[in-house]
Amino acid sequence: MEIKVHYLSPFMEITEAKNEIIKTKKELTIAELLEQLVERYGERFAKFIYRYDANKQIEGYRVIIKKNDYLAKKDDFIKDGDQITLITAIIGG
Amino acid sequence: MSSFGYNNRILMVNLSSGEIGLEHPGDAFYRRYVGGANLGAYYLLKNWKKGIGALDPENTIVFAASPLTGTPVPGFSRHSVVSVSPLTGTIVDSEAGGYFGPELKKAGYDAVVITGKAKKPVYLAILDDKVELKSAENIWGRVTKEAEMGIRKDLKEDKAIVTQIGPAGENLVSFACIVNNLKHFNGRGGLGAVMGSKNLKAIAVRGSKKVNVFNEELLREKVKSFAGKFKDNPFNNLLNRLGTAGVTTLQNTDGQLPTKNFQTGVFSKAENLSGEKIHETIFHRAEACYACSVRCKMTVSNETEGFELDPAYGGPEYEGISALGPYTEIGDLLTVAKANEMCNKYGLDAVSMGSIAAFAMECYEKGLIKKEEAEGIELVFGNNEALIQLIKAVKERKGIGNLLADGIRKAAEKMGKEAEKLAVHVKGMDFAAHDPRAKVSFGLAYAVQPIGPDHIGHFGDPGLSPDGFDNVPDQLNSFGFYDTHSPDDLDLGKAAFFYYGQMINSFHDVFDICTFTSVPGGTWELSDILELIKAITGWNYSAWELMKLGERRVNMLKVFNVLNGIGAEEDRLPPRMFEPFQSGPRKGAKIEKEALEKTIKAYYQVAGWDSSGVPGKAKLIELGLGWLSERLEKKE
Repeated sequence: MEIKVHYLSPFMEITEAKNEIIKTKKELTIAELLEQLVERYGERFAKFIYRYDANKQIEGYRVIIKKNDYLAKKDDFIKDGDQITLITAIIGG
Repeated sequence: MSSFGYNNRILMVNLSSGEIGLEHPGDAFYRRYVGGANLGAYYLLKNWKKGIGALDPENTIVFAASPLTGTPVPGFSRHSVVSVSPLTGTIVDSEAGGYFGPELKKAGYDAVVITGKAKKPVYLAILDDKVELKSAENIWGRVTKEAEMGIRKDLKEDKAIVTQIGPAGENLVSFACIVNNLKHFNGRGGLGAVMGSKNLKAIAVRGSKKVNVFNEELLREKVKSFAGKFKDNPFNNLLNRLGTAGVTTLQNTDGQLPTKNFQTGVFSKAENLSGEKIHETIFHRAEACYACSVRCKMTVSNETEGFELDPAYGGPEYEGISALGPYTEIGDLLTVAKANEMCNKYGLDAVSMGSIAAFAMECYEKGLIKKEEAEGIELVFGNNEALIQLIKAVKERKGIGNLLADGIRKAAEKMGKEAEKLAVHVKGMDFAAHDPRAKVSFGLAYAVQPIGPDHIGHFGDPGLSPDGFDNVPDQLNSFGFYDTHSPDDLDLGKAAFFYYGQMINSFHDVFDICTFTSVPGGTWELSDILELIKAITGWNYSAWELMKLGERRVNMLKVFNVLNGIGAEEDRLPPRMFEPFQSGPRKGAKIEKEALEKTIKAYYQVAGWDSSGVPGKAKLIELGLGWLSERLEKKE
C-alpha cells in the first residue's frame, strides 16, 4: 500500500521534502502513521506532532491532518493511494 | 523608585490649549488596571460624555504601554491605542508591536492621554523629560517614510521612534491606521482618523532610561529559557521561517482562506501568495519587534518597474495578503505586495482596504455600482489594476473612493438593501481573514466582541475535537476549564470555551503581550507569564487575577458601547455567514442562525450580563468597576 504524505511548514524543514511516498504492508490509522513518521524524523518532529504533559507523556496532538479533501480523525484508516497532509494548528487568529 | 515595571507617570496633553501635564495614578491603580487596553479604556471612559463622537475634538485617544513593555522579553514589545472608533462608533483598543511602547517606557511614561484639537497640524515630541508640541505643517500630506524622516531631522534624533498617520488619516478615512517605525500597525478600527481629526500627525519619542524591574536575575533566567522552548514550538517556528504569510497555505489547504468576498474558502492562486513563494521571490530579510527572537516580520524588496518594493515599509503579512489577494481574487504576488505597501505608505488598514475592495467588486458585478459611478475603474474580481486605482481613490477620497472611505457599513447603507446583504461586517468593522464557518467559535467572537470582529480576541477552535485531535490548550486547564468541544459545534459549551479564551487574549492586551508568543500553542506557557510578571513587577499574580483582568477589559469596553447606544441588536453576523461555502474541503459549511442566537444568550449568562448583554451591577462591583455601574444606571 502506498500513501502520499505532504509536509507544509514547519514540518518540511525537518523532513527536507515537501512530500514523500510511504509504503506499508498493513493498513494504518492516522495515529499509527504519525507514530511511524515520528520514528523516522526524531524528537523535534515529535514535539511538533504531540503535546506532552509535565511528565513528558503524550497527552494530545498539535497537528491537524487532512486526508484527501477532508479533515481526518486519529482513528481513521488510510487506504492505498490516500493523500495525507500535516497542518500545524494555528491558534490565535 | 518604589514601583517596578511601571513609571507611575502618565502624560496628559490637551491639543486645544497646548497644555501638557503629568498624572501619577499610584500603585493601587496599576494593580487594578495594569496598562494597555485597560488603562486606555479607563481614561477614555473617565473623559467621555454622551454624544462625543470619534472625530469630535472632545474625544480622547490614549497610547498606553504596560508594566511589562520595554523589558528584554520576547513578545513584550506591544502597546495599545484606545479611542472611539470612526468605523464602528464603539470603543476600540488596537495593539501594535514594534518599538513605540518600549521607547515610551524608556522616556519615563506609561501612557499618553490626548484630548482636544490643534489649530494647525502638530506632532508631539517626547525626549525624556522634554515634551513639546511642534509644527507638522511641513510634513502634513506626506507619506509615512517622508514624514518620519522629516521628524527625525527636525528633532536631530536619528533614532527617535515615530508613531504616525499617513495621508489617509489626515483625510479622515474611517479605516486609517496608526503606524510605528513604518511597519508596525495599530491597524483596526480607524484610529488614524481620530489622530487626523485632531490635527495630530505623529508622536515621536526618545528615551534614555531603563525599565526598573523587581528581580533582574529571574528575568534573565526566563529570557534565556525562551530559546530552548522556542526551537521545539511548531507555531513559532512557522512564524520564524515564513512570518504570518506561512499561514496562507495552511488556511487554503484547510478550506478556510476567505475568497471572493467570503463566497468560498479556497483560492486557486493561493500558492502564488504563500509565505514559501514570498521567500523564494521578493523576500528581503526577517526583522523583529523589540527584543523578540521569533523575528516574524518578513520585509520584501523588488525593482521591477511599476512594482518597486521598499523594505522600509515591511512586507505583506497573512491578514493583508488575504484581504488584498483572495478576498479580491487577485493572485499576482507583486500586485498584492505593491497594494500592501501602498496601504502602509498611506496609513490604511490593509484588511479593511481589501475587504471594501472585494465588497465593491461584488457590488459592481451585481450592478449595484454602475460603470459611471466607478469612474473608469473596472471593478471586477481579479483585476489587479482596479485594486491599485481603488487604494489611491480611497486615500484621496476621490470619486467612488469617497463613498468607500466611510467604511463598509456606511457605504452599504448608502447603496441600499441589496448591497447591505453583501457587506461582510459586524458593527461596521469588516472581517479579518478567519471565516467563522470554518472556525465556528469565531462566529460567536465576531458577533459579541465589543470592538467588532477582532481575530485575536480569543484563540479559536483549531485542534479541538472530542473524537479526534483533542487538544484543549493547557492554559484553559489552569483556569479550570477541562472539557473538549468539537470544532464544528456552536453550542452552550462553546460559549464557555470562547469566554475563557476571550479572557486569556484580553489579559494579553492589558499586559500588551504578543499573542503569537503567549497564546496556547505559543512558546510562553501560562506559568512562564506569571513568573515574568513576578520578575518584572514583584506582583504575585495568579491565573485567577489574570482572568479578572481580562474580564475587566471586556466589561469596560462593553459598558462604553451600552452607554453609546450600541446594544445586543448589533451582536450579530452578516447574511453571508449563513450561506454555505460554495467549494473546497469545507463545502456546505455554514453558521446555523438559531444555534448562534442561543450561544450568544449563553455567552451573556457566562459573562454575568443580562439577556440584553448589559453587564450586571454585581459583576461590575466584583471587578472593582462600581463607578461604571453608576454610570449605567444614570445612562451617562
